[in-house]
Amino acid sequence: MRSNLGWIVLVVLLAGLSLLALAFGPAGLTLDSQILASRAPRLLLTIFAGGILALVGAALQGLLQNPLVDPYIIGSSSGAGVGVALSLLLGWTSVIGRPLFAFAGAAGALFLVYTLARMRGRMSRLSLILAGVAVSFVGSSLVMVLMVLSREQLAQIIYFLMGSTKVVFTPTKLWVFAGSAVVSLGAAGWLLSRWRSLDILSTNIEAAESLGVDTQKLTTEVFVLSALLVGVVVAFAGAISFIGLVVPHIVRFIFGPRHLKVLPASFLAGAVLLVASDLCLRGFAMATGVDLPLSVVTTLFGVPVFLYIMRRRLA
Amino acid sequence: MKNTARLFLCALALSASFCSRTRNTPRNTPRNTPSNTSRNTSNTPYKSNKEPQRVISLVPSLTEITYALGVEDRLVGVTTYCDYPPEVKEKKKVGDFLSPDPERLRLLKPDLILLATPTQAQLAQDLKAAGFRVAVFNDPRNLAGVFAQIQSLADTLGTSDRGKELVDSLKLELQGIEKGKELSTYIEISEEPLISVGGGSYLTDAFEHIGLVNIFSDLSQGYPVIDPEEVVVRSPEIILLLYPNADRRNVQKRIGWSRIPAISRNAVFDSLPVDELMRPGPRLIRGLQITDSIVRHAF
Repeated sequence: MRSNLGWIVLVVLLAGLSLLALAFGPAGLTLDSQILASRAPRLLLTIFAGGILALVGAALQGLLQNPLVDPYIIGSSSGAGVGVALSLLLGWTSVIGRPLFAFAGAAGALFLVYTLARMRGRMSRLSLILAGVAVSFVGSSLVMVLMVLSREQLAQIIYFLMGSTKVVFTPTKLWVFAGSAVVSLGAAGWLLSRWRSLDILSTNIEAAESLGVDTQKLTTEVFVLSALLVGVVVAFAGAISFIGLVVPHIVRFIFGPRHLKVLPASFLAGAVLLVASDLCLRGFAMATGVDLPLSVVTTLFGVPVFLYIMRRRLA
Repeated sequence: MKNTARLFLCALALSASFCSRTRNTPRNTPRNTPSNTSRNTSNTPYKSNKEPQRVISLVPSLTEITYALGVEDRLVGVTTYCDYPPEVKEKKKVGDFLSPDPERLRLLKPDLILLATPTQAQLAQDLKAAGFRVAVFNDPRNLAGVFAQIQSLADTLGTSDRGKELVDSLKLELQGIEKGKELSTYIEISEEPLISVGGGSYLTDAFEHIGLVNIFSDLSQGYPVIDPEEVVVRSPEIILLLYPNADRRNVQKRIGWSRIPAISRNAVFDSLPVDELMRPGPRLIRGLQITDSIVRHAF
């Protein structure tokens, strides 16, 4: 019963907030077609980024059976950060250049983690976490090296690391984004199709193999799909924090542990949270002229909700 | 990614410096002085009856001023970002502008180190505590402040007359620019994120002198990150792109921007003298002259 109501609330919230995001901005409340044309891509990117990050967070938490896992633990966002820093250092900041570098960095990190995590041809979940964390740290260090080398672009790199969906779109960039988003939704669908295996893994790790779950194959699949999805999000919106960690917890509290529900509901809830955060940020900037990083807002917004639910759950 | 908050604070401090080659460097640090000319001069006057003979400059614009004053022979060390005039290549580099190598500083036996606040306030304190003699200059907030800084540095170096000559000639050059019709102007110093120039920067005042009125002059920050839609709302007549490799075609294609007068009238300018404009030094007026002729030529 609660879960039915949950779906309705999520869909209504997302629709309402989306309308608000389209109607509301520096130009005031307007339905002017040109203004809407510039607000719509930002809204789509926000929904996409929030949804994918939460979905990937839920899938990885399910796979790794660890409540502290977030999409950035598998190293690909850190690789994307290296790519972006490199593109800024080399002056390759064209419309396609930056996402391309970010994605190449993410793919490089994916390859590295995959190679490191495989031992004697086996891919274990523990080695995946360890390799992911190691590559993340190496990536962060590389970003810092690039930052020191390019102090002039430092603020841009930092801004990127804080995440933002306030992107200026040109038609070319919009097409690149649309293409990546369609492919990504396909990958998200693939991830969703593994719900049954993730459920079995969550309830009974020891018996999973005997219940017909090929944990190795599943680990590889979920890891590669997640890394690619995070790479796409980070390439366009930077490293938005918190959503991928917390939204799945909130969703599991409302919808229960079944991944068939948790994965799509996480997508919706992540999108809701990010659209709401972006609206707050926009309102704040219009009122004060100060631009807050998106990650700050998602965190300030999400933590109270998270704590409330955690306390009720433990009580 | 967990340290991003700390990194962000670091970056704000670092990027606040005006002394990098100022490619896409925004400056968000609030200025600690009001835009009052008299307060824009050196706040730690150098007191000594002897003129400093071994000077280290940790700020590219101050390096440029030292050369313009003709006392570059006393400059024994500069930062890796100091790249103008070309001869500065031969000077010893002491590192970048926030973490110069203290050992190299000491080896050069300076009797004065030049710094700028607010960016280098902490560094100035540290160097002072380490026994170095420092002269600290406040970031100028307007053209008068730029002139005052030149004079103040000249006084510190004991070349007050030469300083006055330089300032007078710059003022004359500035007067020589005919102030044309006022045009509302959007100045972009970074494409991603979108960063413009606010009222807190000397650039707002400098451009106003040539009739280019900054649409974001009401923002108190020096270099605010802005919402693209805000530019549409404020509909500027011209757009200046102040970063290297700027391409006006990209700006003209931006979704939702086609109605901005600057776009529909094809008044987006990308090959501007970025270094001259972004450094509050002796080349600033020349930068304004060039910008003026480019803009007025098109109108």
